[in-house]
Amino acid sequence: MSEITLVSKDGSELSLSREAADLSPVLRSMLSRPYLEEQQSKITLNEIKPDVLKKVVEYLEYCRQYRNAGEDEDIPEFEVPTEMSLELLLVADFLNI
Amino acid sequence: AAELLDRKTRRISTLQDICISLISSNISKLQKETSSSDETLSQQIRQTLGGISTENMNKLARTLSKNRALNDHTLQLFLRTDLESLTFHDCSKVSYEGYKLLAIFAPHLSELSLQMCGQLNNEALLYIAQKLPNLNALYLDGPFLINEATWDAFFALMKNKLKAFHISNTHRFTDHSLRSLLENCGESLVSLRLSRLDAVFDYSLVPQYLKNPSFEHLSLEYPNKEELVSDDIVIDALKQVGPSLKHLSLNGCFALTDETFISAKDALSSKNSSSSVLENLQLEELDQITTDGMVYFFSGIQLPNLKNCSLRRCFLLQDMAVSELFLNEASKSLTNLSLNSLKDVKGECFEAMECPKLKRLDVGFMGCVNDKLVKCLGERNPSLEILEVFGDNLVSRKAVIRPGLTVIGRQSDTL
Repeated sequence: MSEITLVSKDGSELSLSREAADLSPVLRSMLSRPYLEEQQSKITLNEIKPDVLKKVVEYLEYCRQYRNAGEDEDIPEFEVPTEMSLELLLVADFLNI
Repeated sequence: AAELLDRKTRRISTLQDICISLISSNISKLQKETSSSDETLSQQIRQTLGGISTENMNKLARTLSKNRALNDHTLQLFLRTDLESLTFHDCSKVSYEGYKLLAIFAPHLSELSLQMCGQLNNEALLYIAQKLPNLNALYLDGPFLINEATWDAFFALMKNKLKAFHISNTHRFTDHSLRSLLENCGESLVSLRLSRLDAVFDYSLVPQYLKNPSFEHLSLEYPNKEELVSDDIVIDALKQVGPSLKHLSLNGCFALTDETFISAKDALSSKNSSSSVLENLQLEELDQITTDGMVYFFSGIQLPNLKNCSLRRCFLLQDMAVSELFLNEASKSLTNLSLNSLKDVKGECFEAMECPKLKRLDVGFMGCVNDKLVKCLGERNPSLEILEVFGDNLVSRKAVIRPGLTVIGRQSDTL
């Protein structure tokens, strides 16, 4: 499985699996259309702060891990720090996740 | 949606839901801890939740509306800011207390849009009029609790202040209320929208009172009975305000015929020229206007500023009418065009089409649209970003789509 790199506002980079990135319809279409992103497997998200983006990556990997969990398996709660909730909500809306 | 059809239930909630429940629970917690009269409550809430800039406030309002999560709790986020313009797309869960809080604690608002505001009551509307000193634009959808007496009082309070008033979906806004609006605010109004008002019968009031020489926006949509908005009424209104008009919407006024557009040709242009400043023209579902009428209209007046145009479901229109639009100066400025359901258009009109600024085009439910035309539309309109082809069964997966163009609605595409 290939790795995708996400670049945040201050230029710092975060990587996640292609499978996890595909869970966001927005990232998926950025990666599947014949855009520049396809060749580089790198997406620049200038609007998003690094700590928020880190949480997003965390959530996508969390989803990937548990989305096929069986009926009786326990899924842990996903923790979001209170002071980030507003900003994270806007970003989640943008990424449609 | 795909999961729903597959009868799978999601066990992981979306990140948006997680954030919203966190926000809501924190707001209620803070509300319990501090007394409700505490001045700093909303500031404290924003501090605890990390806060966002004023520019992002309307984005936040949209996200909350989209998730149907705007209520008296989350409303707290918007209080005590210096916001001047605020749009709530879904207020169905905001109670009249919420509106009163908004009126008291957001005093800088000049433009307020409350969609689906079913719980807005008489007291709350008057509060808004009294407590917001700068308010000059109010857009309401579904304010069905407001009665005649309150409308009277509201318009009296807003006398000569109200510049824009849009109202839709209420059966309690009557002829009397319309008269009251126009008598009190007719001179200051530059923007008026009346849509789906089942108790308004006398639309002839509108042309009588519109006198502002810089009037810009007129929408008369979906009257209770089709004959209520007649050619004469629209012609009279255009004679009053035509030369300055930037937005004209006559969606669902089924009684209108070519007569309106024969007169509109002269009414929309200023004295010494044959061009109009119109930017937005919405003529959806006018099923009596003919190709000849529209050819006469589009050939007789130049619309060099026209950006948005919808001829959706004007069933009688054929190729000549659309060709004439593409020959008009409007073709250089159009960014948004809907030709949805023009079933008699055979496709020849697209041969003359060259719209350098066009970004969105809806050609849904037009039998003539096929793979070849999709390719051609992409090539001829370099700025085109979105092409809607719902119900066009000749568009297949083989269609050649240029990079940068998104085609929506092909039968062969799956989610």
